[in-house]
Amino acid sequence: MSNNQLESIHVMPGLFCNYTCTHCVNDSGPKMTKKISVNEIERVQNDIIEYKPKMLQFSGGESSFYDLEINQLVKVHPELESCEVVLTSNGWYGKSSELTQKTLNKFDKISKIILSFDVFHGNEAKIDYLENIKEYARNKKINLVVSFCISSPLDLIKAKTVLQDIDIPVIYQRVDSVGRAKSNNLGYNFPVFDKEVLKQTCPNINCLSFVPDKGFSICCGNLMFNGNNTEIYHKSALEHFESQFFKGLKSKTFGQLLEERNIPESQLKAQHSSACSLCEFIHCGELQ
Amino acid sequence: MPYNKNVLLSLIVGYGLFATPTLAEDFIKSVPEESTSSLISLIKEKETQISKGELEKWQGKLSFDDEELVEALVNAKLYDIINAEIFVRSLEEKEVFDLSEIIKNADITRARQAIAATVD
Repeated sequence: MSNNQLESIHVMPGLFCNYTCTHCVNDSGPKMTKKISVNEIERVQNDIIEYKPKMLQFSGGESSFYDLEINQLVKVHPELESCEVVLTSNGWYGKSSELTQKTLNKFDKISKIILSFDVFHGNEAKIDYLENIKEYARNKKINLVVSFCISSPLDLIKAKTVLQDIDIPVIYQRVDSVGRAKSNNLGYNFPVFDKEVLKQTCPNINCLSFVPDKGFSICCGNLMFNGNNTEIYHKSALEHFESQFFKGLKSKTFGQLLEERNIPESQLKAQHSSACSLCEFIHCGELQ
Repeated sequence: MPYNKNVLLSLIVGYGLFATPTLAEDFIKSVPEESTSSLISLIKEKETQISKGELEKWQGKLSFDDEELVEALVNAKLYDIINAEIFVRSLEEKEVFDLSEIIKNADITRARQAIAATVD
């Protein structure tokens, strides 16, 4: 992959979170202590310098607890002025204007905050918190959006009740059956198998994710967090780009990958309708 | 009888959803032609779970509002057309109205399937 093709490097600096959302993909929570090590920070820095991604994305855990690690990664970007730095956060600090400033001022650069606001999936942030964050974002010229996960289109009705007056752009995301969402049976509900997914390629192909204790992978979901699929992540971006796993996903649709492995379409069920669930099925033989 | 209707007939008789082929044929006549493919997909996938009661909501054409919601769900990339029809047929009238209002009027965007929720 040449430098200009890697749109984004996405880092999960640690899995500690003050909330225990029922749909969390990587089981983050108050008891999770795993975080990016000094050695791993150096490895990620090397690849940020090498690939100069247009975007650096940080999620978690709760990203706002990892300002030191995030600042260390951001500062090495050779073209930082034109790089978008995006935090995905649960917005806990919005309970007061002071706390919002104290928390977010610790970051050297924030271009965009994606507030993961899943009130109906166990996120404890209150709607009032958004006002303080909105005010902060406006003053600092930070792009702010709210994202929420849905298990069914009917969740949009619940979301509207909560989000209708906030005046912040809203994006939604279908929940995939991964991590705690899988154990809580919150995966997006498809009545029958959606054949459109066979024409798709990996939706994340130009974004490389880094997960502590694992490494780099274009997978930030099912294969990374369901089971122990060591062949899908690597120590460096280059090693990953040269892997069979990456090359297969880069060049083939899921339909082609199924054909290559002689898996008949008749084996596919409704739960394989999302790209990530189908990818997991293709690489693991079954949903784990 | 068109090919799809014959397939549907053999499925619902084969899975024992109606006591006789005649009763099954009566039911099939009430299923609109354009819904036959969706119903076949549903029965094939839910072969051991689907009941006669669940089939009843397939009788009759979709209303104009239902059809609009099907189209909106597909455009919003929430479902393909078959899943959208199955989903809409499971909704109450008020849910169809509320959901249509949101999908058509709200300023919402679908995120790419990545943890960081990058917009498509």
